[in-house]
Amino acid sequence: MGDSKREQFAGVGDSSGGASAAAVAAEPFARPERPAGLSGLSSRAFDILRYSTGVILLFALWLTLSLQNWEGIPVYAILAFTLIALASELLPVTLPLDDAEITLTPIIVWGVIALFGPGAGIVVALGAAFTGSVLHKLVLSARPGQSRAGLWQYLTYNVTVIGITTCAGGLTYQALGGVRLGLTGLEGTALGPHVVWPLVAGTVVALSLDLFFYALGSAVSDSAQHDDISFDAIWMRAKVLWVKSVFAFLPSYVMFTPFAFVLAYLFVWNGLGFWGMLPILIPFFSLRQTLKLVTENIRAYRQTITTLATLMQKYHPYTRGHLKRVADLSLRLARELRLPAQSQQWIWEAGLLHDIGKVGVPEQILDKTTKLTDEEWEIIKQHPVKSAEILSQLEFLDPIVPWVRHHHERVDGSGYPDGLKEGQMPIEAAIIAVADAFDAMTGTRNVADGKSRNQCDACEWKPPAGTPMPEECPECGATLIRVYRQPMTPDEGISQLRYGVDTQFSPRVVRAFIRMMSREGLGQDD
Amino acid sequence: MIEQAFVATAFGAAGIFCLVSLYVSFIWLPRKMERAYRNALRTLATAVETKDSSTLGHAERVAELAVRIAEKLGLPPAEVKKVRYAALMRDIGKASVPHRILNKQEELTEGELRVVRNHVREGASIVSQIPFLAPLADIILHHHERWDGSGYPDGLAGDQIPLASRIIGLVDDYEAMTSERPYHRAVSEAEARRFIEEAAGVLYDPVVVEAFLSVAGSLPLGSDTPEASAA
Repeated sequence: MGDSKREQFAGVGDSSGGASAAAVAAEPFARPERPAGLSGLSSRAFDILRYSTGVILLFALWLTLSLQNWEGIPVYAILAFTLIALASELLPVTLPLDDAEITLTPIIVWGVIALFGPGAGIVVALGAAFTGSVLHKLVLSARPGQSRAGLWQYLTYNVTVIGITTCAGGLTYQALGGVRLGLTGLEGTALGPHVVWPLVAGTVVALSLDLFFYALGSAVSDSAQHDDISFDAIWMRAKVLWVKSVFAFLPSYVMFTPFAFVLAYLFVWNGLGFWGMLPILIPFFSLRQTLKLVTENIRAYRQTITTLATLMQKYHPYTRGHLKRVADLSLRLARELRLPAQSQQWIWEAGLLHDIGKVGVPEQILDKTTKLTDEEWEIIKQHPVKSAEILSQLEFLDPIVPWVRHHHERVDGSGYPDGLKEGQMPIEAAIIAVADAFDAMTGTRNVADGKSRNQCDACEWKPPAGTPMPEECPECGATLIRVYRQPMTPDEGISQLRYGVDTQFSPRVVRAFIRMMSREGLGQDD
Repeated sequence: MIEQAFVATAFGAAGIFCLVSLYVSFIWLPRKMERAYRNALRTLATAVETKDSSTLGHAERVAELAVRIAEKLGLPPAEVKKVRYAALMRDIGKASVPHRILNKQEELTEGELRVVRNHVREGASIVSQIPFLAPLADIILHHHERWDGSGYPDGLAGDQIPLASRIIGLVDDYEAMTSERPYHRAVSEAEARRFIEEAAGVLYDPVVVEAFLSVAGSLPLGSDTPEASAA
């Protein structure tokens, strides 16, 4: 579940869901998934929400600060913790795959709460979040091409929520008997009942509240976008999102608690002070670096895959749209068949790249409308082998090499290149075969494409006005994209698949395909 | 006593953990990624080469020789890396040139020539859309420019041509001359070197030619030893 909930508690995230959604749309071969985060925040309903949370924040602040005893708390420590929190706010770790960001700030804030109490914690949290947001806004405003709509609203809401949740969590800590370790010291303090358990309870309260406000904000902006800002509509959306995100984030968030505890413990232990933060800071920044590299790596891989697909389309424009549809269909089929996670992870790529070896087949053969000679047929039969060869050079694509190699095998053993039978070929290859065949039969290959074409694909030569583009370009000799027959309807396609069960297609896959189609139809993506 | 021992052990472990995590993230992983990048580019190059069996392994050899020249010229490592990547990617635009033009034995018509020459623009536009390769776009765009301004696509001359493009252009020609193609027979390496030497200051940058001559003599290159440069 690709929830792109950012660590809101931790402060500023990247600009907003809107920007990343735009990036996905710009990518021609974007993998489907990833719901957008907060967007369309400049609505009036959202303003009302912001102002009411602002009032709650003022009350929470008053309560927390009036309960705080500042005696004996070194000002420099609070200041230093705020600066460190701010620094960590500005150096977040971006998790690969979804755009979630993690910062050290919650650990520091909770460490401070355990050391000096909730009042001190809220000062650090708000100081870091507010300054961080302002700097973030400045940076983002300076960056050209970034969507800034609603950014300020988003940031202020975010800071307000951080304030409220920290107050609530901190007060929970205090109410459950949490002590201020920085003042009481380690001697004679029962760490379990007076630090650890209140800390766990406090973080759970804070996170649940935080996720609630996040869900509420999303629900409000969602509802506003759908022009339905009734209380019921908002409440329904918020509740669903809240429950979902609590289950998704609570376990990993509670992991922060031990670190906060260690931070507080080491700060006091033998007067170690800020040096005690090193065992937390160093691994964190290593983690940051590692994840940064891994993210870059994954991006580069994705880009490589996209480029390969682009190359294929440049080479043979007929494949435009076909590859992505095959990829999407294959992924849905793999999910329908509940294949193992690794298969589900890679089958989309396999669907996209299964025909890359066709780059090695001359386009006259690919586009030939008459019967192929034996020699030409031999060349065609080599394309899965070539696809597999090309992809085998990419280590991370190792799992898909056999899937790609065998996507033209038939269950009766009459396919190519190896004549494998049902049960010998990977199920993923059978899936791609079905998706490929179905889309080839039904795909909306624009029939008018060939007729209405008024220039050569290769050299951009234009025929004299009023005359149609001939089949072969007189300027460079490139053959035009073949005009294909009228595509079948999905029902006709399915009956063709049925017809080919036991000879061409795997019965298991075809059954799953029919089940999926009757339930969901062609799918939401096209 | 026991508590102190425990804390000492914990701190020792934490220290080692810190060192290991630093090593992994700043030394081990970057190296591994460098290899991964190179593989990705090699794959892209192969995909295009698959089209034209006579050029298989060509990109690898060009890259290898271009890198040696770049090193000889004393370019900084980051630039050398760019030379390598650009050399691998330089013909990626050929994906949109039809087979029958690429493998044609007779002389190309004007229209066909335009299609072939367009591969540098195609290549640059493909590469510029890939963030991690975008810096190579300029090098790829100009790798068929000539020192005297007689090349394409923009007819740049002399220092206007990026240095990396000058290097790659020369090596590309050398490689093409010394290997068998549908449209010409291979010449010997010595002959090719002589040709390039004579064309210094006309087709090629004299400085690059000089570096090339001092490097090329020591390298077993050519179509008969495709593996030699892969190592």
